[in-house]
Amino acid sequence: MAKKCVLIFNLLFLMNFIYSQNEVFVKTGTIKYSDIYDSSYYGGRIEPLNTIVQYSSISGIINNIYVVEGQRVVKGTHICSIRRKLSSESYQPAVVTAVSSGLVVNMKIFNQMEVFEKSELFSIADDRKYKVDILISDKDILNVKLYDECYIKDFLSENESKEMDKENHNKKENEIKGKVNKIAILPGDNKGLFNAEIVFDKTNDLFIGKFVTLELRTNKRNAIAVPQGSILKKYGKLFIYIVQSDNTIKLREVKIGQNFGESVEILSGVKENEIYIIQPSAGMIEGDKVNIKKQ
Amino acid sequence: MIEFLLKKRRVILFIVLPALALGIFSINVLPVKLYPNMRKPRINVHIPHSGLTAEDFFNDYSDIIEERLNSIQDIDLIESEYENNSSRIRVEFDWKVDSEEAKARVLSEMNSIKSNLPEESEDFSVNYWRGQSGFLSIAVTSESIDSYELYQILESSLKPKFTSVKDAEEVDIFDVDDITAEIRLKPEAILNYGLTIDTVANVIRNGYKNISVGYFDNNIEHINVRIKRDIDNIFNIEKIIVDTIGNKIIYLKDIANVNIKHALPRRVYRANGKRSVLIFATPKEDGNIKKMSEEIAKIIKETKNELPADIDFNFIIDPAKFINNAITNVVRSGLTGAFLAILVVLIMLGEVKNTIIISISLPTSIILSFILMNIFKVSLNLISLGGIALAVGMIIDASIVVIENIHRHRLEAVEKHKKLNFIHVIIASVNEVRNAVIASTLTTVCVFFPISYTSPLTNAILGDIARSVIFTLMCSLFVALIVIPVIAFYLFRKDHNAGKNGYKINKLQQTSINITEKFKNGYIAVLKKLLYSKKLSLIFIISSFTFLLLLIIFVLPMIKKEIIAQPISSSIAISFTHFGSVDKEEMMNNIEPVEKEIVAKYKNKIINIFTTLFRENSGNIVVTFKNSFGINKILDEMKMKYTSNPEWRFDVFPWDPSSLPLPRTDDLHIKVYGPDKKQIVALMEEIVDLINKEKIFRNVHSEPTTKTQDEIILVPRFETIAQFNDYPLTKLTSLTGIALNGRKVIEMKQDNKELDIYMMYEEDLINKSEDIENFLIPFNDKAIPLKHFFDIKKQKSIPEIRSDNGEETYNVYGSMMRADSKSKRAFYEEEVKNLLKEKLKVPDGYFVQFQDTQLIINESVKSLLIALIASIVLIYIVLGIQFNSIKIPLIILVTIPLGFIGVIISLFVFNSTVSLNSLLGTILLGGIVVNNAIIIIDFYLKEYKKTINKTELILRVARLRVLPISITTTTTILGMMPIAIAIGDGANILQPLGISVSCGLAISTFFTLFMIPCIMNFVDLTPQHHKDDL
Repeated sequence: MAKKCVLIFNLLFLMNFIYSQNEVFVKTGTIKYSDIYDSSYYGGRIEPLNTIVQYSSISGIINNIYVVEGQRVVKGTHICSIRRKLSSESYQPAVVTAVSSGLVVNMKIFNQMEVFEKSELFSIADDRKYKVDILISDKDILNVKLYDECYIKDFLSENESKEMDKENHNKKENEIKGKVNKIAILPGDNKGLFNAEIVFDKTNDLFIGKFVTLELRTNKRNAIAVPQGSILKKYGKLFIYIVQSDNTIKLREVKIGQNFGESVEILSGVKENEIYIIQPSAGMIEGDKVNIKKQ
Repeated sequence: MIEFLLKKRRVILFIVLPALALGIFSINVLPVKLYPNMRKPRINVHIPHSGLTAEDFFNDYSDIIEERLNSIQDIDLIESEYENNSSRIRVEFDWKVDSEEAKARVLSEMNSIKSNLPEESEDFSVNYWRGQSGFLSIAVTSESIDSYELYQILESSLKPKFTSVKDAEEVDIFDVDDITAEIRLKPEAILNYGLTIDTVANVIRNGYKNISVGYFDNNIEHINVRIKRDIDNIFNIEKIIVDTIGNKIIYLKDIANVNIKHALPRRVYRANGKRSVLIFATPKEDGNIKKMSEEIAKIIKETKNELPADIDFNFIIDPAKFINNAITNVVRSGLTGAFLAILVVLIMLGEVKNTIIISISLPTSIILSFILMNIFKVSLNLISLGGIALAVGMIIDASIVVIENIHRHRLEAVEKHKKLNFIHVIIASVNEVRNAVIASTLTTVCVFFPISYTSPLTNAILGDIARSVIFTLMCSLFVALIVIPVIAFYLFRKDHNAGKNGYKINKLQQTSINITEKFKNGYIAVLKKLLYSKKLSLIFIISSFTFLLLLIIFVLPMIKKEIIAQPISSSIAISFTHFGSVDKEEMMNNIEPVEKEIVAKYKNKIINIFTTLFRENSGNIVVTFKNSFGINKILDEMKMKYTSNPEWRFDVFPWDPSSLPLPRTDDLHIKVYGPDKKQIVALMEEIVDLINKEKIFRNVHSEPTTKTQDEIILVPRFETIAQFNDYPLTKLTSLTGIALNGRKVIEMKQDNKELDIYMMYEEDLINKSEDIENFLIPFNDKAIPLKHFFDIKKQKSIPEIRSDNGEETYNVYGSMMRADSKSKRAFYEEEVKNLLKEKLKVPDGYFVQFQDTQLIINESVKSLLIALIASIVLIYIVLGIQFNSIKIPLIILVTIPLGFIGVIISLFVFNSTVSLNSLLGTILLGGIVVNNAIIIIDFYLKEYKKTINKTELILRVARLRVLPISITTTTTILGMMPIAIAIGDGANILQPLGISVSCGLAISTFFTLFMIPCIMNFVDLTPQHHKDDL
């Protein structure tokens, strides 16, 4: 009797083993609403938000220069002095001071150089904020609004981003976010391109003159989206495999909307919190029992 | 004729000796192949059309191509597969067309339409399938020299010598080192410097070569002037100057990662656990593969002394070995068969000299047959050699009958003290059996003629067996009637002239006389009982045929069926994938323990173990054992040991490089017809899903695939593009092309290796359609996306279009489950038919048609059955003419169905198969079994006298002929015994044939010896001239 029991037990175990071998491991996702948007990319160089050109108020000879190009100065810092050319010696040279804090750029003067009234001396780049001027295509311009979010793509070096990934799996938090500050109303040069200005806060990762690629996120909305790979085209219609409570799979016809990167918006056919198969295999048939892969 | 030959007997020497020399010469000039052509000449045309979808290319170019190819003569089928970016066309020719000729015809037609094809399609290739020609591969290893150095040594010492191998199409030494070069552009850097990729490509193209700027003559000589660019080495291309901005020079390395490195080649070989260099050779189509292999082996042997001592040459695949094996098999079968047959002759006739004569006739007939093989262009291959081995037992039959009759007449003359001229004795003996011998040889030859008119596949497989048997038999007839009498004259002349005094019966003869007398007496006693009781005779005849009927109804369907038996291989292959390996170096380290484990376990049984790595994580191991003995056990052990797990995937299977290249057949083939493509595709999808759901067949798939492919169409915004002078449409097209798939920028030569260098972006630059839209183009120190220049549309396209002879086809294929027997195929097909009938809704105007997948096999079997009937008719006609009778041939033909009793029983008992070979054996049997009946009836008619009682005469004739019949039958059976037992590697191909003929013949002879006399007793067989006398 005992032998028979052992035999039956073994048989059941074997059947269970064979049965479980037939189950397919699948990767699943849950149907849910999420924020989706269109991405458009543009490129431009980092510039200081404001660059103030300072002019000579008098005609004369540059008597002294107190700073070097690129030096950071605060408002009121002496930049240079100009000695009047035709007046008596009792006149002290006139001192030109910085009208704003920032970097001294575009120095156009040197010692003993003759300058005239209203001639350009230097500029003060106000780098407390950065901007990038871009040219937006007429195809995107209607979707871009003032103060829309804008991100700098791949601002981290490869090594930095790897380290970042290890420490913090959410790379998005480290993105540099800016906003659309100005949009031209008219396109320039008949090319269908509109000037726009994107403003960023100053960070250590950016420097003036760096070429960056910007991601404009437009057309934001809340909708159901699934990876494109989960949509099957069969018999001339579109389907998704839904995993039912007994772990069997069912084909559900769906209607899809727009593609967003690797995702596609689902307009109808599924409900929130249903479980679907992310990458159905070719041999999968409706009614198959599946084993959900632990992730 | 005989008289003339015996009187001018030296003439024979002048005929036979040169003929033998010619035969030996023919052996050396005959083409040697592994197999005869078993597939129709098939030419593959590969047409690249990068950027064009299957549908575009099909719509615009398929008509031009297919119409032109269709105009070629002798074409049987044009199968086309149009796919995105490239298409393939298979052109199948009639059997009679030579592959090279077929290739030339296709190439010429393709060249004539070259200018009508898109530019990228002009690089089309035309090739033919070389599978049946075989190939040679040798793995070279060394303990002390690393593989890089070893390659250099072999390349310099052996490669130049290999050019002298005349029979080789090409002999290659595969490199163990590869240089990989790629330029990966950094998109940000390119934009930063305001460069475009096509300008970079141009700069690279012009930047590395020295530029010739002109020349001058200085009255003495002509002097060229060149500007040196310093970049003449591939490793320096990163220093190419791309641009200069202000004072800053921008080098290629500033805007791209230039990766140039030595790496493992596409395929890595390891022999016996060590990295190896592979020597690979293919023969010319009409070349002698055996000679090619032997010459290469000879070159290696001669050069070995000049090479370091520890270099090992492992012949992994050696066609010379297969063919030598086949020759050894033939020789062994021949010698064994001949030895057994000669032993029988010695025992039965009891005289050594008779045995010597028979021994001479065997090799003479075989050597002479090579002359005919040469004339009729039959190559030496495993099949034709098998045919010769098969014929060994039959070759000596005619000689035995002749020599036995001479022997009998000699003894009679001695016993009766007749003083006859010995020449007359021989003439009388030969004349007595001449007609019977000719008739019996002709009937055997006759049965093979219809095979030339069977289905092409049957003819291709069996034709060479049939031809080699016909040739050897024809030669044996010549030897028996012309050569044997002359040799007999020389050997027995003295004995005969000495009369009874000179002829003493020795002990051996006495023993054989005693044995044969007892045998004859026993046979006659049984036959007498049968003949004198008509009731018993009738029961015997009826029960024999009832037995045959029962066998056909109940036993025949139980015997397995196949096209032809495949040889049992002595090699096992293990294909593997190691999921963890990321490069070939790592894969090599991971596979080494597996190799060691196999070597350790089967150390004494292994000849060599050869590993090929195809990719960074997969490859296969081929283990070649000393012989196929116990191979199934080892196969099972390996299957148990090497099972797939999350780390490894293994597939263990027998591997045979010399397997028969038979055409592939599908188990399930359904065609769908209808007016709308989309509906057809939907129907195919439903069919595949329904069959898969019920798991009736495995690997069910559709051709073309039903999966549609996404396509992105860039529609140019011409008004916008017109405003950008720097970006005309051509430039935008080129930029997009490079962004997507890169572009070849230069060809360089490094270490005698031609290298194509491609420039491309980082791998993940474009992964989705959005990435193409957003691909940035530099403009005014900024960057704008590609979508500004194009409207972007998405659509689904059909990635594959298939057509047969210009007609689009839609097919569903499936294979039988591995565990299922092929005999259940029809049953499962019926199940699918019912399933589709029940569950598939086929719209009006659409058709789902099941194709006959067994067409080629059924055609072959059918054509062989027709050949069998045709051969019977031919035998009837030959016998009708021979005996000038309508009735006698019918009696003789009764023996053929009786032979089937033996065939069916033996195939069933020995678990053999109904295959083309066993069917051929049955046909052959028909030709042999009638011989015995012919001999009995021929003698009966010759001995017929009105005065003698009919039954007595039958008994007398039976007594006279039972000995030669027994001897020839025994020699034929023993001659075929080595084939029936299948000794030697690959011998099992012919095993069903050997079994069906030898066992069929044994049983049929038994029936003939009793059945023919019984029937003769019932039927009036008065010869025509006696009737005329009346």
